[in-house]
Order: sequence, then structure tokens, then C-alpha cells
Amino acid sequence: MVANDVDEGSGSTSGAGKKPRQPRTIDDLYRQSSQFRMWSFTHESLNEIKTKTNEKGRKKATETFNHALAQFRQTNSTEYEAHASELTVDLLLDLLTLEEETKYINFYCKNIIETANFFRMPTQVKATAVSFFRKFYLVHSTMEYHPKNIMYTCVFLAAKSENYFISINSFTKALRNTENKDILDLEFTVLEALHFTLLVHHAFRPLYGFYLDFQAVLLHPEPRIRGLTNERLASLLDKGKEWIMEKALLSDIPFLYTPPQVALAAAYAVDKEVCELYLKIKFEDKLTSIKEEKESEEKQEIKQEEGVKQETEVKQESTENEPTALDSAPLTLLLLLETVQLCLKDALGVPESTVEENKAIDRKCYFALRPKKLIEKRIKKLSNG
Amino acid sequence: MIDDERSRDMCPICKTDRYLSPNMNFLINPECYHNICESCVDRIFSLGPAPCPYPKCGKILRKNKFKKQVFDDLKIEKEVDLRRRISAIYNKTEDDFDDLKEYNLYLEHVETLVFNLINGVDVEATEQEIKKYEQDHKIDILEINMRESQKTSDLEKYQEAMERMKQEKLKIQHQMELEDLEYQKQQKQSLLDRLSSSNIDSDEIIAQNNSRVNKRLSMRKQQLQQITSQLEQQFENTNPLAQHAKALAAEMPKTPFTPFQGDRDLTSYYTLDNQYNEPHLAKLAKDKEYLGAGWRPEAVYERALDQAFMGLGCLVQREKA
Repeated sequence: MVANDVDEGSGSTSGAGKKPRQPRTIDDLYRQSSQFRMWSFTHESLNEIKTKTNEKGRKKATETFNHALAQFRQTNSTEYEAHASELTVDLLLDLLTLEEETKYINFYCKNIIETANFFRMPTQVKATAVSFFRKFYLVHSTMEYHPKNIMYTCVFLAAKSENYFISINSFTKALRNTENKDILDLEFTVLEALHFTLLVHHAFRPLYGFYLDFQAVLLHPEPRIRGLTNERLASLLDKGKEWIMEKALLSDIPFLYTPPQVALAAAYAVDKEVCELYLKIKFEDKLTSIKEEKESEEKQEIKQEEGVKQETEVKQESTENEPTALDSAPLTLLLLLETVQLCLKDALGVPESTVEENKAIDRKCYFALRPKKLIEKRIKKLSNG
Repeated sequence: MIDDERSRDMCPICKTDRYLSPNMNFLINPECYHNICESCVDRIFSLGPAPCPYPKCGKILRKNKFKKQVFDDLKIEKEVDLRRRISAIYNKTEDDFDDLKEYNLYLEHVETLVFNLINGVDVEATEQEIKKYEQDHKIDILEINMRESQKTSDLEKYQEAMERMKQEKLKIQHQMELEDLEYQKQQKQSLLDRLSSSNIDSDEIIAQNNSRVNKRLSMRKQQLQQITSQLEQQFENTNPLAQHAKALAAEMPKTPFTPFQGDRDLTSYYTLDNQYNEPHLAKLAKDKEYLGAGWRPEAVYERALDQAFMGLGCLVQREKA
């Protein structure tokens, strides 16, 4: 990006007659972030990635199972011969489906929040840990890495990257059955899966920004809605934060929308009236002013066209440019509302899972990672029965 | 080692020893770099060019080429001489080239020539090349020489002026100090006189005196500052380097600084309100420790608001499709 800038810059200084480029907006700034470049997806591509990862995990689990079976066959051939027909992949191995994996990951996301609460970590750390965890399981499957230690590693890493350092010794001391090695060994694996992108833009600060702007737009100089007080906005902020923590983080919307959009969705979910009014005031004015500008520009162009007929080529270029300018033109109110509502819908469509379900999934995952145990268990059962 | 030491202390021609004549000096000639003591040089070469008195050398040397040895190691001495000679001929600077690459190629070439001469690779061919280059570029070399000497003389002038200014300042300071001393003496005397003659309370007189002295002191300080600033200004005006910089600045087009070469859309989506309901931040805004460290509540607001609108218009679903 930087090299590009320099190139374009030197080009523009040499050719003085060149048309100036479209200025970079604040949105372009976000488009340069790793979060947008690497961790933002459409619904379809996100699903595709998840399916692929699930398939990868299944393949890996089958391979390890076959390997374990072959080993078992070598060491205990008599037992194997006796029950050869019972010991096949299809009969024994019960792998996680995509939905099960999703539920399993969500279950662990809640665990992350609990773990982080236990260490009294700030919201930012919690949210980053969840984000790391979800990103990790876009790259790897639960059938490759068991979520428990990955979860702790993510919390540990997030604490470091969010400047809330906790030493590895005090960290593992507080956790049961976890050694330093378990976490430190996985640290690089997790970092690799994250492509070393450690900065996560959360929706919390944008929400706070909107809370400030609500005050500026709706409350000052006088309230735009009857009964709108500072207290109502403050509770909107608090509840909005909770909403982001409980709903947004546990769903896929951080992958599908930008932080400000998620923040607006949170505000919309908590206090629809305030949010809608704000958007209307804020963006309808803007929209009309932009339209006026466009119209005046067009008028000018028409005048020029009458004057000079030879510059048809240049004109064509400018007309070609216009649609793109409209495309990237700031948000229309409708588009924004639509996005916010879609975001809300996506946030609410998270499947809930019961305790029994979770236990069953956990068993499956456990055996998928340790096929030897699975084989031994089945042998025991067969020889007993 | 011992041999070396001895040869350094004894002239091999006249066998004069440093022990007996402690202020003898050795000279060398860049033709053959043999050590010969000063008196021998005077003796042998006064009447014109003569062969080197070292056995088996026999190179014809001239007296005016003799010089003092700077480096202990003759190899280095030789190389420095050589480089001086080459750089007098190949004296182009970076300004003479269109781009860095060409300049680097030129430097590389010069370095190869130097290497060849030092290590005795193709000496004749190299010497010929240098000669040819010198003849071909005679005018260029002269021109660059003139230009460079102008630059260095500018620098020298600057240093000279700086030194002069420093001296001037010191002189003024010294003078003022002397005056102050004189004044203090006077004051003391007058104070004593008044104490002995007048009938006012002595404490009061002393207080009066003190305040007068203090006033004068601060006035003097101001005066000194004024003088030094005047001097500095004068210096700036006469300083050739500053004039050069000024000329450069006048040549450059005057455009205000814009981040990202002015391609950043600076329209803001929000206007800062100065009455946000933030009791916590308001409290911090009165804390001197926070303010002293440069913290301002506006920075918090701006950061949050900037982030609130950063990426609001990025429709991931549409743009990633």
C-alpha cells in the first residue's frame, strides 16, 4: 500500500494536468486494516470456509484413526482378528458435523468469557480472546486441536496483545490440570492460524462514539424526543455493551459486518427509537446535501459541454467515473438501516445448545482426537459382551 | 620487529641515530616510499633530482615531493596518497548524476581503479585509462573543483562567523560582569554611608537597598538577553549557509502540508460537542497530573467518534462478493 502511494504520488507531481484522485475516506482507512482484508467475509464465503475446515478435520480424524487401527493390528493381532468386522471406520468413528462444531465452538466461547471473568480481565481482553478463538477455528477444526487448551492459549495471548499481561505461571496455577507447556506449545500454532494479525477492532469503542454523538445530535441543544435524558442514553450504552458481549461475540457478525455497523445494531437492539431517529437526522441531511452537490456538478458539466464539443473523450471518461463515485458515496439512510437490521438478524440466529448436547459433542471430539482409546474401549465392550 | 624498530630510529643513509639527535625527522617520497632523514634529503636533493640512495632502488626523486609520513603503515600511506590523486581526477558528486544507480556505478568503477593500482593488477592499462579520462574531462574536473571549493569556503566562513559571534558574546558578558562588580562596590559603600549618617531604621535601609539591587539585576539580565539575540540575528543575516537555505526555500513551491499527499478526505462525520455527559472524564479533566501529561478529554472523544465512523460505509457483503 505504501509503495503504491509513493508511486502514484510521484506520478501526479510529474503530470500536472492529471485529474486528482478520489480522496481517501475514513472507510478506506478501515479497508486497509487486516480485519477487513483477511477476516471479513460474505455469508457464502464464510460458510464455504467453515465447511472446508470441517471436511479437513474429518479427513484428519479418519487418518489418525486408520493409523491407530493399523498400529493396534500390529501389536494385538489376535484381538484384532477376533473382531475385525466390528473395527471399521464407519462403525466406530462418529465425527462432528458442521452444526455440532459450531455449537461446540460457541460453548467454548462462553467458557472463554467465564475464564476471563475469573481473572478479572477487562472487556477488551475477553472480546479479543473470543475473536482469536473463533478465527482459529476458521482455519483449523476441533477434530485437529481440542478446544480446551486452544481456549486458554487464546485468553493468554489476548491478555498479552491487549496489554493486560499475566505471567504464564500465575495463569496456569489458577487453571486446573494445565501445564505451562500446554499453553506455550500452542501459542505459535494459534499465532500462525491468525496470520499474526493481533489487532482486533471491536464494536465497543464505536458504540461509545455513537453514544457521544447521540448526545450531540439528539440531546443538545434540546432533546429531540420527549423524555430523552442522559440516563436513557447511559443505559443504552451499558445495555449495548452487554449485547455486544453476549450476542455479537457469540455470533458470526464480527466476520460479516464492520465494528460501527455492529455497534449500531447493538444500539438498535437496545433502543430502536433513539437509534432510528439518530440515523434519520444524521444521514438524511447528509444525503440531501450530497445530492445537491451532485446536481450542481452535473449542471456545470452540461454548461461545459455546450461550450466545448471537442473534449468528448474527456467527458466520456468523467461519465465513466461517475458510477463508481456514486457507489462509494457515503451511506444512504436506507442502506444503513438495511445493513443494521440484517446484522441484527444474523446476531440472533445463533443456535442454542443444551448441556447434554454439549457433553455428547465433547465425547465425540475426545475420541476423534484419541482413536486408540476408542478402539480399546470397543474391544473391551466386545470381549465382555 | 626489532629490525623495524631500529630502522625507524636510524637513517639508513647517514646512520644518524635518534638517540644522538633526538629531533631528527624522516621524510618519504611517494615515488618509492623509502625513509630518508631530513638532513640527508637536504644534502642529496638540494641540487636537483637525484636517484634514491637506497641500494637497488635508484628511482629519480625530487626534493619538493618529499613529505612527512602520516601513517605508520606504509601500505596505508600509499593508499591514501593514491586515493587523493584519484579523487582529484574523478571528482564528480552525486549531483552530477541523474539517479543514484548511475552514481553508484561510477563509484564502483573508481573503486576498481584504486583496487587495481594498489594491488598491482593491470597497472599500466589502469594508469592509461586514468590519464585518458583526465585529458578528456579536463574542463569538467576544473568546474567541479571550483564548485566544491565554493561550498567548502562557505562552510569555513560559517564556522569563522560562528567563532567570532561566540567571542563577541563572551566579551560582552565579561564587560557586564565587570560593570556589575563595580556597581556592587559602589552600592556597598553608599549603603554604609547611609547607615552611618541617616537616622532611619537600618533594616528598612537594607530592604530598600536590596530591592534596588534586585531590580537592577533583572534589568541587566534583560539587557544581556537582548544583546545576544541581536547578535544572533546579525549572524543569521550574514551567515552564507542560511542565505543558501533561504534561496532554496524561495525556489520551492509553497504548499501547505497535507497528510497522505493531500489525498485524504478530511470531511468529518461529526462535530465535537463540548457538553458531553461524562462525569468521570470531567473529573479527570480537572486533575493536574493528567493535564500535565498532555491528556485531554477531547482526545478520548475524538478517538471514539473516529472509530464510530471508521468503516461505517464498508459494506462487507457487497465489497467482498
